[in-house]
Amino acid sequence: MLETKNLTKKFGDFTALHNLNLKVNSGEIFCLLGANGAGKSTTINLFLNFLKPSSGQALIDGLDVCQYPLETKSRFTYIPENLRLYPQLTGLENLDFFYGLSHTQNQGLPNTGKVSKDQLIEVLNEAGLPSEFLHRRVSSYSKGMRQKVGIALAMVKNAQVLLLDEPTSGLDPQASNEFSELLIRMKSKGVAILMATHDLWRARDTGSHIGIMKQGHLLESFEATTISHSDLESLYLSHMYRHKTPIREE
Amino acid sequence: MKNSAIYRIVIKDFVVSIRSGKFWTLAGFVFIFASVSLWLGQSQYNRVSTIKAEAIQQARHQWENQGEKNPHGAGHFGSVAFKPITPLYMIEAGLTDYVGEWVYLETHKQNSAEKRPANDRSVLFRFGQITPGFLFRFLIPLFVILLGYSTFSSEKEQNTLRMLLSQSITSKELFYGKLLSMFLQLAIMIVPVFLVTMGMFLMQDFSPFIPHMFILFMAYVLYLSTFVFIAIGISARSRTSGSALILLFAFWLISTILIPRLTVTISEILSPPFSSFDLKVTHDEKQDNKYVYGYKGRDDFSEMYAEIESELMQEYGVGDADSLEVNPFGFAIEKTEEEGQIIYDKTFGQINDLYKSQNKLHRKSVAFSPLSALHFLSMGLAHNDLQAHEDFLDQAEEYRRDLMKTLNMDIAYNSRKGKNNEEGNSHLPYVQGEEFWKSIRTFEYDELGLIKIISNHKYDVISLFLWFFASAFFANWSVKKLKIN
Repeated sequence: MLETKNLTKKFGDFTALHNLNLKVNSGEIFCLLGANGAGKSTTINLFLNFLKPSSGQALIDGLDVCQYPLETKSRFTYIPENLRLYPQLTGLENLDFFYGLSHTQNQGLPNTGKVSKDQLIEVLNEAGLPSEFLHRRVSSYSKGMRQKVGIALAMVKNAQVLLLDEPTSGLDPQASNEFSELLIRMKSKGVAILMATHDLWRARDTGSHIGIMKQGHLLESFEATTISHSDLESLYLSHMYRHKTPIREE
Repeated sequence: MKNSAIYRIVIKDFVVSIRSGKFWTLAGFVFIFASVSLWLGQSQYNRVSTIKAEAIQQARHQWENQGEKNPHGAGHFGSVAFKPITPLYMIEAGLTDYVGEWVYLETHKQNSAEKRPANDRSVLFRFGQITPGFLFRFLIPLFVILLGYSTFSSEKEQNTLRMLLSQSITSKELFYGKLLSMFLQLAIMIVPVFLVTMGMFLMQDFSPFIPHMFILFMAYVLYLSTFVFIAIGISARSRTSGSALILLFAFWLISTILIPRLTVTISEILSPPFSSFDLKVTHDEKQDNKYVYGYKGRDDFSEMYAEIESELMQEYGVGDADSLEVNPFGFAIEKTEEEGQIIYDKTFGQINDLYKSQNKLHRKSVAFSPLSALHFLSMGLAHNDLQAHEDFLDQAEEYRRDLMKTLNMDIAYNSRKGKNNEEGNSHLPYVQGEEFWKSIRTFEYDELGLIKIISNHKYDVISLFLWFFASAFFANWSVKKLKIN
């Protein structure tokens, strides 16, 4: 569903991403771990087509995001670290707006028919937004509530892919937990999820696969169930401390 | 339509603008300002047109009731040509207050226009008048900037642009959505002003000027659209709303205030105006010496009279002047008129050339300021620009020449054998009365036709279109180049 083939991004002389090869199938959550500048957000931005790759490909559902930007965008929902919505609109209006934008391009996709206002409310409830906030302006929402609107968008849009850039950063433990539960529900519905995160604990608990990145390289990737929390932490730290000098090209 | 991305962006931006309170504040200001300026414009138009109508009536009454006198004496008594104002004066005052409103028409002399209303007003008048034209030219562009400066920059600042661009919309849909939202807000502000003005024109039987009004409104739409495009373009290129606002305000200041005033100053430096004293001295010197270098180089009137008398005697086949059926004085005095006209044409031609030279320089500012193009065009449509004033002066002078010829030819053909010629051949005892004065048509200014106006202002029209398309290209290009940092 989500795939990169030798994906490389250079900014002048600096290579932010080196020949990244990864694959996220339907019903999988791939967690990218790494320090700041490891290339996690660059990978997400390449999928979003906000950046053009220097070489290689980013594919969604087999489609190159550069060649088919609209088609690929219609298949995913993106939730950044701090999902910002229009503060003058309510959560319901924001959802209606963003769903409307994706709906206009989604005519050919399954289960993407027009939804009523009641259905939008239902989805927001399902995403866990307190009902008393449905008609309040987003300016009064917490970060967790805004992230839930983002998840609601993915649900109503029937997105096949979720791109998450540190979505739980700054959330309180309860909100983080609720968010993780939502992700697991999305996974169970067959959504392919790529999540960049610093949260080792959440990656181990929520992810089906984990990749560790450093200086634009994917150092290692494995199934989340094959490693314990403490081993993951040790492995991660060992990678962070091991390569003090730039990693050579493979 | 409701499912289109463009429609959704239009509605979203409109709702956001309304809820931010900015739109209603600006729309309320436009409503109040437009109402006050239209009311003031209508009052001013009514006052000026009533005064002019009364003055025209009074001048005609004086002409018809000047009593019995010799037609040449009537030429010295003179008449007055008034320049009418059009209903568009209530929207665009133009040069009306700075050029004369009437010309005194008398024999031997061509006068310049008199009575400049600005002379009679307080110094506060220098700060300008409140007219709908002022609202459209200066204030609404500023409001467009205030509405549009954050169109994209606030999306960047709020980080909503990431969400927006991660949706499956094209840059074209984004551009048109933002653009139409701005136009919707602008339309809510200005269309009521247009409809009310049109209603006023229809109710007051100003229908001949409705096409002028319509074209003027279209010019305003082009002009304001330019500001909409530039606001969108700069907003898309700017990282912050603050920098977008500063850039847009600088553009507004330069294009609406600095360039038009700077070009006036430069054109006066490059083509300095005559002082009125210099003009009068030159003019009077030429007038006093006109027989020296005038008609065939004669040095006095009697020599010319003798020559004309001799020619007439030959033409009529008579041996002595007393046998002539026509009066040589009428022909001679007409000849002096024609000689004077040559001198006046030169003098006024120099003034007109100077004005044209200054105006030509000033009009080059349309390349740098859409306001200049709009202002020239709107003054043209309102018949109160320099060309309309020159046209009025030309028509007034043509009428004066025609009037004087009528009076002189009446002396020439009727003073020797017509009525009231009881005391011999001299023209002086010959008199005309009320019936004759009434037979002479009143001066009526024939305003420039719409096609002629557009032709006079073709470069202004072209400039407005060029500004429109160039700014549209800039806005489109800026949105296409939108980047997520």
